[in-house]
Amino acid sequence: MILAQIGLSHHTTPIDLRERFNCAETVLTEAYHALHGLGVQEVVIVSTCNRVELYACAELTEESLRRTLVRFLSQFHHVPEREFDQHLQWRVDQEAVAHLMRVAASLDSLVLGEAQILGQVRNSLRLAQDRGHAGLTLTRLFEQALHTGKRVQTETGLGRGRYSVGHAAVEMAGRIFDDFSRAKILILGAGKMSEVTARHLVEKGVKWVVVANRTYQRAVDLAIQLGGSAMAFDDAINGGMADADIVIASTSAPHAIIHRGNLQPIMRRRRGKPLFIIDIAIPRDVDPNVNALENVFLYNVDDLQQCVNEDAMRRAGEADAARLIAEEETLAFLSWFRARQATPTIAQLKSHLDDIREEYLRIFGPRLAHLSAKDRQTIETMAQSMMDQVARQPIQKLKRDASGEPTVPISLAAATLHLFGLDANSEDAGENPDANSAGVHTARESA
Amino acid sequence: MMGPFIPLNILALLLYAAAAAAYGAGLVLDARNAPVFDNRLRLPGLARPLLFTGIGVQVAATGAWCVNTHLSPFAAEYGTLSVLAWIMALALAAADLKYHITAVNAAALPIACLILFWGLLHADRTPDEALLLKSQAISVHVLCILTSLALFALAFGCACCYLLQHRLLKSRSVRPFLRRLPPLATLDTVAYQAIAFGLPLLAVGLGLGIVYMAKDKPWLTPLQWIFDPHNFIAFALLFLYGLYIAARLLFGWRGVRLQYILVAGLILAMALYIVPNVTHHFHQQSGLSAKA
Repeated sequence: MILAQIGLSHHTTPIDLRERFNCAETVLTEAYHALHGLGVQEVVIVSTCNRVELYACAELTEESLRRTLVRFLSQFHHVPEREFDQHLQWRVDQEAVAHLMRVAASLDSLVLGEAQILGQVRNSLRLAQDRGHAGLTLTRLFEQALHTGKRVQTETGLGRGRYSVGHAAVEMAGRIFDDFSRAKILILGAGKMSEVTARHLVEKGVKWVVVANRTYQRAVDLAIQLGGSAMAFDDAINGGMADADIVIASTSAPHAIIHRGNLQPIMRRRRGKPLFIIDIAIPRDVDPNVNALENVFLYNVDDLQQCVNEDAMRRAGEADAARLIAEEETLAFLSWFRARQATPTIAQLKSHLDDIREEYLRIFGPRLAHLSAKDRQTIETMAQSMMDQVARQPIQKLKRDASGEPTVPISLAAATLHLFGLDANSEDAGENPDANSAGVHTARESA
Repeated sequence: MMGPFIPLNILALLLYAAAAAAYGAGLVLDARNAPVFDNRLRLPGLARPLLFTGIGVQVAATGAWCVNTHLSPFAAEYGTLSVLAWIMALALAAADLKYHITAVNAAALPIACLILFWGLLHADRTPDEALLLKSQAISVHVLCILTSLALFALAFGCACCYLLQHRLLKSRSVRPFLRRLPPLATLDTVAYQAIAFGLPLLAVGLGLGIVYMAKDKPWLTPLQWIFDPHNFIAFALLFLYGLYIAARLLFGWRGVRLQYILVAGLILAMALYIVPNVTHHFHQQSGLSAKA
């Protein structure tokens, strides 16, 4: 059985091509339907804004499984193979498992440490299970991946302190003011962005909030929500800024409303008290030259976004710890998966030995007819125990050989199939029935 | 002169240096793992125990000096500098306990190390056994001056961190380890409190000095006395820090300009050590300043 992954991700595929493969939940149902009858035993589709990936498990050769899945992708999404073939990522066995672990650990995400991916992986598994496409192997694989994601979230700092522009604004304010409960915020423009940023600051303990807006009623509404007060816009520009410590500017004005010229006298009145201005308006509300004024710290959306990006870089160190976890979980799954590879051989071996036991009990049954039911039961139990004893050691060896790195250069599973004539391709396979018949015949004769 | 106080002070020096290194390491390591919004550093591991042990060892060293020599530690340059380093370490430890200003300690503790090291280099000089040095009031005078200098050093450390933080904020830089510098408001508060305590002590120290100078050298005219470079700088220092306090208290000034006053203040205080003095009998004898 081969376990493989095929797909397109943000690493290799431009967004205009990726979006042609995007699968909404309703489309996924059709996709699973289309996968029926392709000879793929198990399949799970992971479709997010950053990736479209198929995880498949099949009794096919690597090449034919690849061909099947590529053809499916092309036909289902109506995209010619030549358009996406060069962007495709194809991974088999260990690589495929390791990739899913990295995806679930958010190491493969556009924003390192983002938590959404775990929910998306969980949802993908659920959808595949509902449609009967996730069997034992892929269910186990995805559950292991979910476990990996959870471990990364709890054991590393990769997902901790996930950052937004609002968070960045709070951090910057925290580098100026030590006690937010004494800081005063002035909000210019009662927009959504300013509300979100102000909320972050209010959560940190800011108590004094003044909202100013061209439409006074909107200022009043937002002020009520934030537990502050409203102020006329012009008063805020001329006087309000002298009292504020933090100004959040987010008006829809087409040009700058705060200039160096009108801020200079205000700063003189402030006598060097620091003023933190967060300009999140586009176009900008505050002239960039304002930052040159002493004790004025002006940050616009790009500056705060830079903080967000630098924070992501900072957390990259946590990625190493997350990578280790992903590797551990990959090995854990592979151990289980390889042990599972030997299961059919073990089952065949057991069945073969059972057949022999039953055959001989059937043959010798008439000669044991004079025995009591209890004695016959004892003989049957003895025969069963003998067979179990014969099979015990080979089964243990087979499991051990399959779960770890093989200790001998041949596959014990293949050797077992060959030795016991369980392999359909074995030269002896055709002879066995005769041999068995001969054996049985001899036994009959002796009986 | 060799006594148990020298090895003890060497041990204290090593402890201070280790504490400074631990504060610096804590600053870097903590920055990587610290929660994003908490600007206060978590206890940087070993730093505080090392600092407090160093302070304790210095107490033992100074005690050993007094028992051995039956003299005030201010009778020798070594003792004076050792006590200065001790007060400085004490001020930094107190500020750290109250405000968690690890960054300031990482920056200012090396100054204490340097002072103690300088003192140890001069440990072989013979102590001055002049009668004047046996006066309690002179000890108070020196102690006041040294305490004020230690507090000015703390304010200097805060001002340096303030200027660095200010510059980073202006340039919108978020370098990982520098993001753990204390907030501007905390640095401003600590510096202000250091000066608020240091300035009166300096004034008391200078006042006591004037009283004893008038007793010791009654023939000096006020003009002769004031134009002694050492005395002149001491009063300039008083004026400078007075200006800072006045700006803060009377005019409510804040911000970056006041920090420059604090930086200039410590440079001026250091100049006290190197300028020649003509009339300052006590310092010439104890070796607190270079020989005129």
